This record gives sequence, structure tokens and C-alpha cells, in this order.
Amino acid sequence: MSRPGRILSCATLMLLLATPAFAAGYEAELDPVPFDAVNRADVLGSIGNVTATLDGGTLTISGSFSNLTSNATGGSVRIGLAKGVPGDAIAALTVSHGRLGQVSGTVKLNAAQAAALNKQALYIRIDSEKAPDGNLQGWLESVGNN
Amino acid sequence: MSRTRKFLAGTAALIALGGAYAFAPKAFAQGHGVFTDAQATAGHSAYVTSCAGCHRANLAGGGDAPGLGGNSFMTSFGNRSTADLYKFIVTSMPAGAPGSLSEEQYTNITAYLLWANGAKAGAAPFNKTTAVKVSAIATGTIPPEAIAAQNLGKMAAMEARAAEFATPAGHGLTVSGTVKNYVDVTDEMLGHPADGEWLMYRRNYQGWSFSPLTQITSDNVKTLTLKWAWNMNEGGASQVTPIVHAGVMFLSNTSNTVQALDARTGELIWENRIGPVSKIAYGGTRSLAIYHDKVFVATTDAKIHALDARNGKIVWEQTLGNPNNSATGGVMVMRGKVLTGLTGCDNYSENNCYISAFDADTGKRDWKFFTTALEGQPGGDTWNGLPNLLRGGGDTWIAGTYDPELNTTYWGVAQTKPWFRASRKTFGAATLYSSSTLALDPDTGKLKWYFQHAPGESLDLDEVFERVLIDHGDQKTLMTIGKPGILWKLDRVTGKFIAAKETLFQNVFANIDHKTGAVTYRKDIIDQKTNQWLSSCPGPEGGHDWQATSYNQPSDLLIIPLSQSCVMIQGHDVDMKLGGGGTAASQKFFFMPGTHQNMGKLVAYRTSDMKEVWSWQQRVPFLTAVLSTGGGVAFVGDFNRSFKAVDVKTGKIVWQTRLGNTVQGYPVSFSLDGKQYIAVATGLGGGSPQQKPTMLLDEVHRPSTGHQLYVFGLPD
Repeated sequence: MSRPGRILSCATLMLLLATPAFAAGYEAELDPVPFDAVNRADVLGSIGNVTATLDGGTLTISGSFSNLTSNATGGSVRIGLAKGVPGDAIAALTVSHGRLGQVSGTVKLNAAQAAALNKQALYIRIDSEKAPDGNLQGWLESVGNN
Repeated sequence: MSRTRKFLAGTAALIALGGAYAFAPKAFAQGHGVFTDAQATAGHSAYVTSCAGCHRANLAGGGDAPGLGGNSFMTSFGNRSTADLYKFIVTSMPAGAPGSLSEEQYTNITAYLLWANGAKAGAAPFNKTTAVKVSAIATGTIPPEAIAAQNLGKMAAMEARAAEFATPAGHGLTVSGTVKNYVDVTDEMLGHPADGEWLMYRRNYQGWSFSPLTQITSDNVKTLTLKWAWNMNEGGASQVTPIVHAGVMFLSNTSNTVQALDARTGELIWENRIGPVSKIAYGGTRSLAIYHDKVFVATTDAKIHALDARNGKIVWEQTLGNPNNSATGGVMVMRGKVLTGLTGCDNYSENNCYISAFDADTGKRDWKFFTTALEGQPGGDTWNGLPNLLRGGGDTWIAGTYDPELNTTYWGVAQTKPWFRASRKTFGAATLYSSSTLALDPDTGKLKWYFQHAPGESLDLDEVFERVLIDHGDQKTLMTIGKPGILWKLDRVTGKFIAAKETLFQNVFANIDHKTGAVTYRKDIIDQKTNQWLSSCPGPEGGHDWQATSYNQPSDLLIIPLSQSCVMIQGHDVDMKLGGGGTAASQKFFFMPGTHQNMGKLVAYRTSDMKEVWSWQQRVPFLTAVLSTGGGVAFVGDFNRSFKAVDVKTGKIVWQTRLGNTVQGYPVSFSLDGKQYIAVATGLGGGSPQQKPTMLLDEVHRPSTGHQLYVFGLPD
């Protein structure tokens, strides 16, 4: 490897090592969960967004939602195989129990979950009375990625 | 009516009456049902009129329409209530026009579907609030009477559609006339089309959709005005390419109707209503071909017809496939041969799917190339040992392109059917030649090379679309893009992979080897089982679909219309027997993550280095191909009736107008008397590109009719 190449590699490595010391920003738009003709009217039109920061392995999430056709009942951070692929919950979030409101929470990520965040496989889901298995969903991406 | 016709009509009536007699009393044995005999009988009639065009008279499904009998039905609806089934149908059907039937018709169709899946009729009528678990009353076993009633259903459907979209003068040559001063189209004209003409599907053999005309520019396009318009047949799917030669526009309408119009004025010269009449969402005949003194059309009943270009009379006709097949992808003529593909190969059939070539003068079939490699043939060992009968799919529903110097024609092949590899039991097998580019000798149909983009594809992500032939110095390349949205560049002499570029978010492939082009599927796709929901971004709308790219040769930009939507898709178990199979999947829809619910994306790539030059997004997807011109303007139309012109170099919108319905089809440009024109159609019907935005975009309201052609030009 050439000298400039070695310098660049070292700089990149240092940057990567230093990353956990700084809060990293993420965001997600919340869109309706997959629907068919039966549950379309229950979820279509609802909307939301969240921001999140990762600081020392702790992910802090806050955001809002609106236009639900029934009251929100819960929220979760979930992990899938990739962006756009649903999966299991890894932490519960606090939501306002209304058709519009706030969502927030904190979760300590393990190494696998942090890796999933980096490859955009972590997502937020909000449930509602009419859509208990999901009303809104959105995958976390680095700020500015969208 | 002739004596023979009277006899046939009488016989048909007797069969119909006999069928109805046999159908009604046996069909609905009394029990504790949630619907009545009368509802199911009326529902059967409504089904064949409004549903069977896509879901098929035998409930087997086809294309984007899932099967509604047996396993498919029970998997989709067994755990739901009858009220949910009703709600599903009302909210989503007929495709493209949900909610357009009466409550009584929807109620009856629901009753029919329950009966056709083994539920018994009873005394109480079904209504939209009747809520019983479907699996508690239906078994998934289709009664023999339902099968016996299918032919009756087909006849009823045809008659009903004919009545709804009444043709003015029946079938055949309905308007007689003669094109004055017609000039035969030669091989030289096809190889080097005059600037003002549009002689084939994508205008040139290379598939560019590029007009060298320069009169309309990004500066003056804002003054475009309507010169004339023409109402086209309603019903079915209209995805037309106007063909323009010697001042005449040859137009392929739905219901397999061909017209010749004066391209200056829109005056009708002749019309041949070949038929059959379209059913709902019946595939569009995307393009005619013209050669010597004939116009060629492949029709939705899987036939090919040669018409006299001067007067519309049929010169010869041939059968392409079996009655379940169709031909929608357009026709190409090269070296005196008429080439066309085949579709409707979803259900297991003894004839498999193939590309055909016919002698342009006589109609004699020259060759067939089977796009599902058969047992004992090269590639035939890539089907996990399945017999030929179970080798579904491999449709060719977009016409190929041609390199005269290499004397090679290039075709895309669609995916294997059923969609899920777990449904069709091919698992990790490649299933050649599905999802491939084929390079064929047009003289013999011999395979020169193939490149399989997505071995063993299993999410309805076609790689069937246009093959665009582009040279960079001595490098002869082929570019194509399929539903996953990956732009492929191949060496078209050897088939060797050169490059691949992801043009939008996709989560289907975990890896693309940029040295070989080999793709690795996401793990859960590899490990799939039937009745399992899998995420697919993009979904079956694409990425890229039949709305073709334009290669703007002066700027070296390939302008690509893209759609951004995803699905959860669930493959079903299928009957592994003659007539079984089908596409066999259910879908749920969602917006593509990270797109802010913008479904439409227009993007330009420089083809020499595959770099994106510009892109922008909008709420609704594009439903036309892109047309670009020597004047530096690109035209594209969308789902919400907007027809736009953009500056080729910047992508900036420089003009737009609102038309009567979804702008759908293949816009073209031509010139006459020194004036440049832009022709574009509005239309309805079709598969995922119509279905997905209809479900996702609640705010878009479109008329239920509106197949029309518009011709624009600069002010006089």
C-alpha cells in the first residue's frame, strides 16, 4: 500500500473508532404498514416521523404521528433482515393514546442490533386499536440519507 | 343471419340453457348457508363479466390476479370473515375501478366465490354485514358444476363486454377505405428510418425511443397545442404505440382493433375490428409492425394477423398458442420475418412458452424458440427435475430489438410461474431461460448466448423489458432494466456482463457481484416456504416495468421511468397438474421506505460510465414510456393525467398539461410537411402499474373511461 493510502486507511480507522463517542443522528418517516383491501381504510392516510440519536450504544427516539383512524395503543423498535423487511420487537416505546401524538423511548443496543441499525434494518412501529399488529412503520436511516 | 350461423346460434343457446339447467339445481344443495342459490347464480354471471378477464373463468388466476379457487382462495381468505371477503372485493375490484359495481353485484360475487369453494347455499341471503369465518363454511373444493359452467361463463363474459362497450358495426372490416399513395416499407427503411417516421415499437431496431426531430425544443415546447384527438376503444388495457408511415397513423386499439388514420387530421381511413372484444384488464396490444405492404398485429387471443396496409383487409393469420395464451408484447419484423412473443403461460400447459417467427409474405411459421428450456435440451436440467408440463412462465411480453450488423435479435424473458419457487417446487434451481436476456439468430431461432439476470426468481420481478442497444466506440453493449431496478450493461456480442447499477432502493438481493453480475438473494427469500409473507422492495410494480426507457443518443443519456412501491407477498400451494399452477400469490402493499411516499421517479443515466446525471421524484408513478428527441426534450406521462416535457440535460420540467385520464402507452414523434408532432395516449387497464397506485394513492380520482389519442404540435 502506498504512503497516502496508509495515511488514508489510518485516518478512516481512527474515524470509525471515534464514532461511538459522538451522538449519531437517525431519522425515519412513518408510513402505513402493508395493507390489502380489507385493512386499507384502517391505515392508509396515517403518517409520522421520528428522529433518533445513538450515543454510547443507547438509542434515544422521539417523534410524532397523526391521521390515525383509531387511537394509538403502543409502539416498538423492531429488527428485520434488511430495510423494508419486518421483524421482531426489541424494545417498547411510549406513545400518546390518541389519533395523533408523540412517540418516544430509549433502548440500549447490543452489537447485533447496532449492526442492524447501521444497515438500516431497525425500524419503528406504532400500533392502534384498529391495527393492533401495526399501523405505521418506518426504517431508521442516517440523517440526510433520504 | 346465414343458415349456418342460425344453426350455431341455436346450438349455443341450447348449450347455454342446458348448462344453466345443469348448473342451477345441482349447484346449490340446501343447507345452513349464508347465501342463496339465486345470489350465487347471479354472482356467477357477474363474476364472468367483471372478474374472469383476470382471475379466469376457472378461478385459476393469471398475471397479477391471484387464483380464487381451492388453495389460493383458502390461503387468502380462509381465516377471514365473509364480511372481510366482501369488503376486500368492494375496496379493490375490479382492478383499476374499485367500487364501480353495485352493492347487489358485489354481494352476489361474494356468494358465488363462497359457493365455488365448496360452501353450501341456504335460505338466508348474504349481505355485507354477514360475518362468518370463511373456513367454517367453505372447503376449498371446487364443485364439478362450477367447472361445467365455465364455458357458459366465457360466452356470457364476451357478450356482456360487447354490450357494455358496444362496437359500432360488429367485427371485421368495419370501415372501408384506401390509403392513398402508400409506399412499401423496405428493410432499408426499417434499418435507417426517416427522421419523421415511427415505423416500429421503439422507433429503431436498437430500441431507443428517440426521435431525431429538432423542431420542438426545451425553449418552445411550452407553446405546444393540441392538433387533433381521437377516441379509442374502451375496455381492456390500452398501452398503444402509434405507428406512423407515409402520412398515415396505424393504431392498435383494445378489443384487437386496428385503424389507419390520416396523421395530419385524425381522419379515419379504414378500420378492422379483428376481435375478440376485450375483457377488463385484458392485456394491451402494445405495438403493431409494418413491412412492405402489410401491417402485423398479434392479438390477445394468441393469434397473429397480417393486414393489407392500404385497406385493412386480412391477408393471412396464424395461431400463436393455445386458448389460454395471449400476445400483448408487440411485433417486430426483421429480415422478412415477423417475430412475436407469447404470454399467458401461467397455468400448466402442454405447449409451454416460446418466441415465434413467421414469413412476412406468406405467414408460414419459420421457427419457435422455447423460453422455458425443455427436458433433454440445453438448459433443460435447470428445473429441479420437473416435467415439461410443470415448466410455467417464461413469457415474452415485450418485443425484442435487433442488431442488423450482428444479425442478432435480443429478447427479455419473464419469470418462472408460479411466482414462488416454493410453490412451483424448483427451490434453488435456475429455471432457464426465465429472467434472462436471449440473443437469437432471427433466421433460424438458434440461441447465440443468454445471460440470466435473476436465476430462480420468485417474487414476480420480471426482467422482460426492453433491450436497448448502444455503442461506445467499438464496444457494442446491451442495456436493460427490470423490476428490481438494476440497470444492466452487457456485451451484446458475447453476452458477457459489464456492469450493474441499482437505480432505486431494493432489498431483494443481498449482494450483486460486480465482476460477474451474479446476484445473491436475501436469506429469507432463499429459505422461503409457501404461505409465508416475504418483503419485496420494489414489488411487482417495479422498479421498472413496461414503461420503457428512452436513449437520447446526442447526450448519451438513458432516461428511465421508475416506480417506488413495495409489497409483502405470499406464495400459495398449487395443483401440480394440467391447468394448475398460475401465479399463485397474495400481496399486501406499502410505500417504499425512505421515499416520502413518492411513487414516481424519473432518472437519467449516462450510459458510457453508468453515472446518474439527474433525477427527481413525484407522488404518482409514470404510466408511459419516455420519448426523447433531437430537440433536447423528453416526454413522459403519469397516473394522475399529467403529460410532461423535461429538458433532457437537466431533467427540469419545461411544460406540462393535464389530459382526460391516466397517460398510458408509448408516446411517439413524427413530422409531416415540415412540422413535428408528439402523439400520446391516455388509457386504463393493466397489471401492477395500474393496481398498486390505485391501492396506495387514495387522493387520485380518475374517470372510468378515457382511452384516447392526443396529437400535439407547435402553433401554426
